[in-house]
Amino acid sequence: MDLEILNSAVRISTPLVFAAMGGLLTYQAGMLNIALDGFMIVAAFTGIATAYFTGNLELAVLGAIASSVLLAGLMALFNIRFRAHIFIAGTAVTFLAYGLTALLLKGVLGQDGVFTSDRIPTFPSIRLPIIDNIPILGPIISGQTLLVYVAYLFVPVVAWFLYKTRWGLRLRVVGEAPEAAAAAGIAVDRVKIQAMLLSGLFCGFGGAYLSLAYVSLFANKMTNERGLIALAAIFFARGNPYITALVALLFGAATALSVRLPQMTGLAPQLLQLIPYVVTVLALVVVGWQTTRARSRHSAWKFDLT
Amino acid sequence: MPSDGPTVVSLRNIVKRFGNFTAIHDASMDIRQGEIHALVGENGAGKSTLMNILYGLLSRNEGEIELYKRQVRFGNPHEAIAAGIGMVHQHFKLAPSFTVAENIILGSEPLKPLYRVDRQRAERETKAISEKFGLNLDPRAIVGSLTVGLRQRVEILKTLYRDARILILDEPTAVLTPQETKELFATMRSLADSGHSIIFITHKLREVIDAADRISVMRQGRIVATIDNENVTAQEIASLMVGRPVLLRVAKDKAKPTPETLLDVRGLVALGERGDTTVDNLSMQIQAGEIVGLAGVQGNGQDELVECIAGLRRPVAGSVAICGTPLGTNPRANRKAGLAYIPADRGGVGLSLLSGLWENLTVGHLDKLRFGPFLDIGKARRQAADLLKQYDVRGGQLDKLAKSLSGGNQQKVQVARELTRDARLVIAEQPSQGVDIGAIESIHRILVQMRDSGHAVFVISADLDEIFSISDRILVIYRGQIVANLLAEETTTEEVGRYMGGLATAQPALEEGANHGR
Repeated sequence: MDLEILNSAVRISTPLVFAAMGGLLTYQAGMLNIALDGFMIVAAFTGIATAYFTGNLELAVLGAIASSVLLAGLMALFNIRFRAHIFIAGTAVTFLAYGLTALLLKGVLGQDGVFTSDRIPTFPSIRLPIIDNIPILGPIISGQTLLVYVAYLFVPVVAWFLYKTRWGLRLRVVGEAPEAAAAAGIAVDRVKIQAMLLSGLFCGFGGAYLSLAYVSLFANKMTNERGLIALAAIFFARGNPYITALVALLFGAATALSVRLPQMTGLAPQLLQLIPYVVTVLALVVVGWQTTRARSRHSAWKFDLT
Repeated sequence: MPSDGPTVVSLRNIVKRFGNFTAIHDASMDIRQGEIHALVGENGAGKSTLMNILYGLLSRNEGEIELYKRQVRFGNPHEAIAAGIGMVHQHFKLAPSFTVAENIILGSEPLKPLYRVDRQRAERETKAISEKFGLNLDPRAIVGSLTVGLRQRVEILKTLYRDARILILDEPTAVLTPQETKELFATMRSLADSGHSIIFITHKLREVIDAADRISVMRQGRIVATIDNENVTAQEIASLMVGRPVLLRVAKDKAKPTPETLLDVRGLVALGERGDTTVDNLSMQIQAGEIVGLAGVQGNGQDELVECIAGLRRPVAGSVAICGTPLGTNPRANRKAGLAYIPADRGGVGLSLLSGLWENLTVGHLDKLRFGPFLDIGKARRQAADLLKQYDVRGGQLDKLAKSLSGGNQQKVQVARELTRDARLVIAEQPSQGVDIGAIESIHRILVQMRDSGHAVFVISADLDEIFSISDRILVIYRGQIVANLLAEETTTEEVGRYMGGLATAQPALEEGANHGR
């Protein structure tokens, strides 16, 4: 029973990890990307539509990623090329994505609100050879679908790129001190565009996972603000990929708990469904508290606007 | 001693126009190998513009630049860097949370396979290059934790790492303490001795005379003179810069302090940003009718002391009284008690850079400009217009944003606002930082006038020349305590310097305030 909760925590956290890795790259490049939900919903829709029409899961995932990257390109165009404020650009892109997917759901698949079909293939669960036999760990980790493993493997990959490579160093400097980067001859805008497109790539995986693996359907706004929760995890971890993934996992565990607890305790499920959000808020309060404490404990009044 | 090396850079008849405005008229200068060439002039004279043209940041309308006898035209700084020119800007371009080595290699990183950054090589090379030029720096130190002087070294090393042979330093001493300035000059000299040419933009005359081999003076977009630094006086350079004779030391009568204490600080203890004790049981008094200068190396508690007096920082112990009113930590109450505060951080504390001049001149005077529950905008604008005229703020239009003014004129705006308030204690923090000679002269004159009309003036400055030129009485702060209380006319820069460095022991009688010597 307990292990089952952890097993579903891993599953529930997967789209968060994807979105968080995407948001993390833009965060490190100095952009607050609030369009993660928009990227994911478009990917989720393209995934399900492609799978429905072709019956091919690989094509569906590729289509999902392509659509999400395309939307990220639009975001980069607004924000970096036309210098729209990133918050406005992000809001616009997200609304566009919600509206467009709802419209296409009706127009292409002929459904209102929710779409599912027998023709959509599903991901098989994978039994990992050695790990499967390890007690405790086996039942939690083994038996997930392919994209779950992809998500968690992305974490060290992202960390490696960020902290070991030239690209990562430049990305981080662009985020922290764009003037210093420009003075060193780094094409700041190009780096930002790359980060935004990669953000689209990761969210593409996240969206595909949501509609094709986590469930096998598409519903309007089915991302359910996971992008924003991923952002919260990133802020909590101050952009560290490992801690970000851990926080995502914690959120997954809280969600899994909120699903199971009503049966176990008899409390109102509506109340228990608050748990993940309460956890998120508490996490952010802790971060905010620590940051202000570290910053202002001994400092004079600051009026730092420039 | 002027170097007689070959000419490496030659600017010929440079003209630069911005629209209808001509910033540079026909400027020519030569830079020789191995020399320190000071480029002096008032703010707005065109020094930075001319150097930005050389560095490829700006294009020129007319004229030629020759580098090693070959004509060049740089479209951007990278071409200039590739040709061996480096520039250290006044505002550093560093990433604070990264290490010294990372900042230095950024943009030309040594690599391992898979495009990985070769950190070890970066650190090794950083160490080697910093040792070669006597700039002691730990390659692994985080830039944000370094002092300003060390950050500047990082900037200089960045240019040297890219093999710059010609270095342009834009107002490098503006942010440095006297000690750091001395070290910078030593570095500049060792670079010049190893064949580098250094162009040193400044408007501090003593530094020019201390450090330069040759001096080019700019005024209103023209190079008006290039002279060898031999038997030149600060007075002569100042006159060339301004175009008329100027007074470097303000003329004033002897102070006539009255027994009325306008600032009374007793047993003050305050913590710094890191929680360390920066003001340590400090007591001091200032009387009406005197100018007191606070000398000290930056970071000895000056900032915290002033913040406590201004009500911006909560003291741990002790008391502050302004014009006889004991005060807590409320900037508004302190101002009401009679404090006029001219902060060093003009852009952050003193002014709202994104507001118009009339708005900046109106805050602090709101009580007088009330119209029922509203602000009498017409009256406020009329008053602001008067102030702009009275304090000679150049280019001052009521609706212009404060950030569009030069440093000197911003300073005049905050001086105008603060000194026209009904306040008898004036605290001026680094009043001449980033301000033209002409403007310094007028700001100092105003402070002396305030003194003569019965105000108490407290000047905090990192610049000993300024302290000596304006103070009647000099307090020296060292490690959060007042270690000396001297009459300006009875002491010397050497004596004050010794106290600043903590080399002389504190006078025993200081515990009960700073009123001896009169």
